[in-house]
Amino acid sequence: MIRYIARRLLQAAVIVAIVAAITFVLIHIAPGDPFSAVLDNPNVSERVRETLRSQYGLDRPLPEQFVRYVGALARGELGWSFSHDRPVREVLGSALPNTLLLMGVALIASFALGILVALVQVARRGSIIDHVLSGISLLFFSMPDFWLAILALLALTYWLPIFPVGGAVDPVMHEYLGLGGRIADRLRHLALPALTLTLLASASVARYQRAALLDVLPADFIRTARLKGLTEREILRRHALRNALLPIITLIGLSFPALLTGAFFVERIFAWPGMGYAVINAISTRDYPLVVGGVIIGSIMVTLGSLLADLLYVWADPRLRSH
Amino acid sequence: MAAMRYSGILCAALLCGCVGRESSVGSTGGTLAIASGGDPDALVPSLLQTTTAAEIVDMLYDRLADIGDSLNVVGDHGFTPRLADRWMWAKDSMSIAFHINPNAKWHDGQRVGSNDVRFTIASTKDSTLGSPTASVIENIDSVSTPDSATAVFWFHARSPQQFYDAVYQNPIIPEHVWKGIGPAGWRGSEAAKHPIGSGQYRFVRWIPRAVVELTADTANYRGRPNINRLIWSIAPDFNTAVTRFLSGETDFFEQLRLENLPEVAKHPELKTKPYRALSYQFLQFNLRDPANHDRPHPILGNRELRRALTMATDRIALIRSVFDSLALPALGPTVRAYPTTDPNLAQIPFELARARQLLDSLGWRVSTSDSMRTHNGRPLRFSISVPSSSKVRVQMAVVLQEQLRRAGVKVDVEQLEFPALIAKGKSRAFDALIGQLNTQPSPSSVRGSWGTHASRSASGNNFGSYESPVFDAYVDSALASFDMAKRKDYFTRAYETIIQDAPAIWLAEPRPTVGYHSRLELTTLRSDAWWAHIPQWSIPRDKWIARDSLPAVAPGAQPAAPKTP
Amino acid sequence: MSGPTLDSVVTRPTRPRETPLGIAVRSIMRKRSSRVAVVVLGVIVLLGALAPFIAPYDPAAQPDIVALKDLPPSLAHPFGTDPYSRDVLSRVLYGARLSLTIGILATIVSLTLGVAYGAIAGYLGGLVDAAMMRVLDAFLSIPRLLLLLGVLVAWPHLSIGALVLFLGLTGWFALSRIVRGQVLALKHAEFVTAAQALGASRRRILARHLLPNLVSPIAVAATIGVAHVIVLEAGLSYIGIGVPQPLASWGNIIQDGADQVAQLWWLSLFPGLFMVLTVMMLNILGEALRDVYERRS
Repeated sequence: MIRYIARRLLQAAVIVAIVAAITFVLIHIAPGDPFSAVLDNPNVSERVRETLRSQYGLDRPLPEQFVRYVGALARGELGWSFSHDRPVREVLGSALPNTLLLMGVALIASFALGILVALVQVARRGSIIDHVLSGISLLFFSMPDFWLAILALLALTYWLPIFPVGGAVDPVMHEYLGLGGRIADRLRHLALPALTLTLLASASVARYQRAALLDVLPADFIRTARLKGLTEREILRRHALRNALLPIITLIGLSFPALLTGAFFVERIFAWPGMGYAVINAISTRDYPLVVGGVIIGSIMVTLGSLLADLLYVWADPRLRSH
Repeated sequence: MAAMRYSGILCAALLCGCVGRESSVGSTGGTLAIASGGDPDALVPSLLQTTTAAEIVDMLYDRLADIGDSLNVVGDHGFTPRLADRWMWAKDSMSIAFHINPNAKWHDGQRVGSNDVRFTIASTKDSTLGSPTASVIENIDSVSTPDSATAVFWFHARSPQQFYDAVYQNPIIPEHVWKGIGPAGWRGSEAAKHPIGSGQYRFVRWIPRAVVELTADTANYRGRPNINRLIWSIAPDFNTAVTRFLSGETDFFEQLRLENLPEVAKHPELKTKPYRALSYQFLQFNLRDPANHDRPHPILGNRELRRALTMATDRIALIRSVFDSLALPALGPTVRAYPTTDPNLAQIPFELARARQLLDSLGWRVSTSDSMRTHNGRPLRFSISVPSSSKVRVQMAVVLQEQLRRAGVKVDVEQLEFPALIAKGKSRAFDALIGQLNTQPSPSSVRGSWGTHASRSASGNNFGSYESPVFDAYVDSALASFDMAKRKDYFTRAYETIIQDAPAIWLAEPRPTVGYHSRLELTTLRSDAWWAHIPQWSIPRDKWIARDSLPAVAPGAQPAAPKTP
Repeated sequence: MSGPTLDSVVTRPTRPRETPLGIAVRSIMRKRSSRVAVVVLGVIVLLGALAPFIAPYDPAAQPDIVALKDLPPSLAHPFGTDPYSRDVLSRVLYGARLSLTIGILATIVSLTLGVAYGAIAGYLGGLVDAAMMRVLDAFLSIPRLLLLLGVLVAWPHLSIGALVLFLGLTGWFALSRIVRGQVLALKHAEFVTAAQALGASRRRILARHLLPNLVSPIAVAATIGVAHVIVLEAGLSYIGIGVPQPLASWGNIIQDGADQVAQLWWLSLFPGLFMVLTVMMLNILGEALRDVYERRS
């Protein structure tokens, strides 16, 4: 077990190193100097230019630049965001918790909702409800993230003004509310983006789970349970679900990339101050270091996510434990 | 939303005749939340380029005197004392001595002195700072300080606008905060992130892209403003900003478009008010080659070609489509509000057939395959850069793209965020861009945008590098005249020169409408700065809503502590 | 030689002259949802292909930017007009053409790369294979949108061709792993060694054994891939870094109406519907294909 963990950790480290190489290549194959926007910009102070030059070693041979680059990354330095006038590390560091909050809430809610829907569908398989739910989950699965977000923003902040219009907190009132008030304010602002992301993510969970459950149901031990006289519902609950749970862990790991992508669009439309919001804004300011920093952090998140899922899987599956 | 602000820093003007008088009686307190579609770029008076930054800076800082609502720029008539409680002209009018109000204090408690005035002017003129204001205060030679309460402005020459030049462009900044910071580092410094001024509002916080908050300076030497808190709620785009206004999250929105008005009408607690602004929008051509600034632009450097492009655009239809009735066609690098602007300036007419002929005669022939023109293998193609935050300008660019396509010109539209656009302009790395200038009360600001000096200096705002000695000469003659009729005549000739040279296609003169919550008691919206009188706005106590009852300062939050180096 | 040949021993018993693709297609067509999906997709593809002939107006033409802008759906303009007086129906039709073309071309790039990379890795095996797989893992760990954003910020003025290329370059990872798996399985299968001993050429082995087994995963990857690219391109165009004006794609039609979603609802609704419909049908097909594939293996 320990060896397995160590091996997976090493693999993860290798992957991150390769990602660093990929971003390095990206930086250097772009036409012109990707930092020309920074270096030629008269508004950028000399101090910043010096920092960039030393950090990236822009006049050194490429291999040396790469070594410096990886070294800087290892120290946690991701460059300077000139549109924010702060280190990239700081910008993303303050934005990342918001993204994690959004993704975390959506992850839990979407799995809960998805599994519930799948259970209902399987319990009533073949019925009208099954078909309708299939259609609905297919619809949400196929819907572009930003479209749903636009519709949600329109419907629930404008036509029915239930939720606030974007942002993480009320800009005017938040500082003045008591602790309870501030939590409530944050929750109110979190609700709609989380709801949107949940709807998008739960569709794929529901579809997958339904298929997984249907696959498990004909299995031998289920037939045995039926012969023993257990009701359909008990069978579902006790046996099918537990066996279908293992793939859920894998699914959690696999769902990170899609969840992150969805979060990007949702954050942009709801002005939720997370990493996606920062990176997408950085595109229009051509803030190259910030975008590249986002790529690195994003890939680290995905790698860690799948690593965790793998480890959980091994821990949860008794059949694999005896390695 | 964010507009380029050239050589102009406007601050709130108190329309009261003498210093220290109390603002409107009774209703103090309350919170004003302003919906803004863009972040301020820098809260430094001599560096800012966005309107949002100008609004905030004008609340934080004071000028020596403030211009009257009638925006008279000749002499000192109508100006009201601010940091200076009185002033004296020298007999030869080559200098003006300002006496600083002895009660004036910075937000950190230190007294405002003449050294601050001298420092403000000297730093603005320092070329390493790169301030766009520098080219506009050229006439000021320097400031001397015979004593700590007197600042004497020395001028190179007499002009009708001496006083205006000395006072209007220069909110005063504290020397003790800024002097230790190298000019190249001002923009990113701590002092810029926690500004200290002498204005009627103090800085509380600025969360980038989210919120800027100011609080009333209750011990201010001119008395406290009525409203306790000012909040700028910064939205990522126009639509979100409007929605925040319509949903009641904010109280004020400065640029309603025509399509928003019916929505506002549905909300009985919201009102609208049109006002005359001093801004114009234009498609600016880069006359120099972006790859090599010493050479003319391979396509746009040719005057006749630019005239042909102007002839090919139907500006009337463009404005009607994008603004409906909320804008007039721009006449040139000027606005109709100036008494020196002739509303009948001769324009290059819209004649598509003639434009095509002209392009043919210049050698740009239509290739049969895609009906785009080429000349010696080079296609007639260039890009227009616009700020993605201004939906109006994006729309104009797309319309222009199609109109020019009919003449065989291929246009690419590039959308950028506003600071990136400004950076492109400053480094002259563009083909064409749609800009907006918020002019000042004086037509002299045209020098900072279209004059030769502004083209040559790195900090100047003449991004297109239009240089015409004829134009410069007419403008200088106009500004040197004390005779109104002669001024107008010279300006007319100057404008006609530049219109015929076509360094830009003059697009629109918007007539903005603000939206505001009905509980607000507004005052006059000054044309150059609708926010000028915010300290006198009030919210009657009987109409307070939830956010008005909050205290002036959040529990646990401190107004910015001075961070002197 | 009489009796079962080596070939027929290892492949599933089939009707004579029935290709695996033929089988797959037949079993898909058995389901009603797939038949509907094929028909709907066919209609949309046809509409897009014939757009230059059936679109009532030029999609970029702005006939009267004063009188004809922002019109709600009517007989003259069934999908209304946009803020530039352009006919939205024509733009949606051309949008189908462009979005589908981008989707298909980008997916072709992805498929080619995916098969090539996976085949090479599987064939070479050993250290090279391990290294290639690690690189693949790295690419897989970067969400596709993020990778695209990283590329697009460096190349701000992309032509459509370049956009297609980059979309394609970022979508080949999953397929190459499957291909590699197939190649590896093939390498170690006993019948291959036997066949080689009997003198069967490598090409014959490839043609008879590898390719048939790849058809299904490629078909699945193709349909799902096109769906992904369509959604991705729409998202990028919506942010403003995808298809430039005045070209019409479903994403940038929505963007034109983005700040007046309520008033100009037709700008968000119609392209969105087309997009959702297309993607749904592609997903149905892809799933049906995947069912066939998984049942077979």
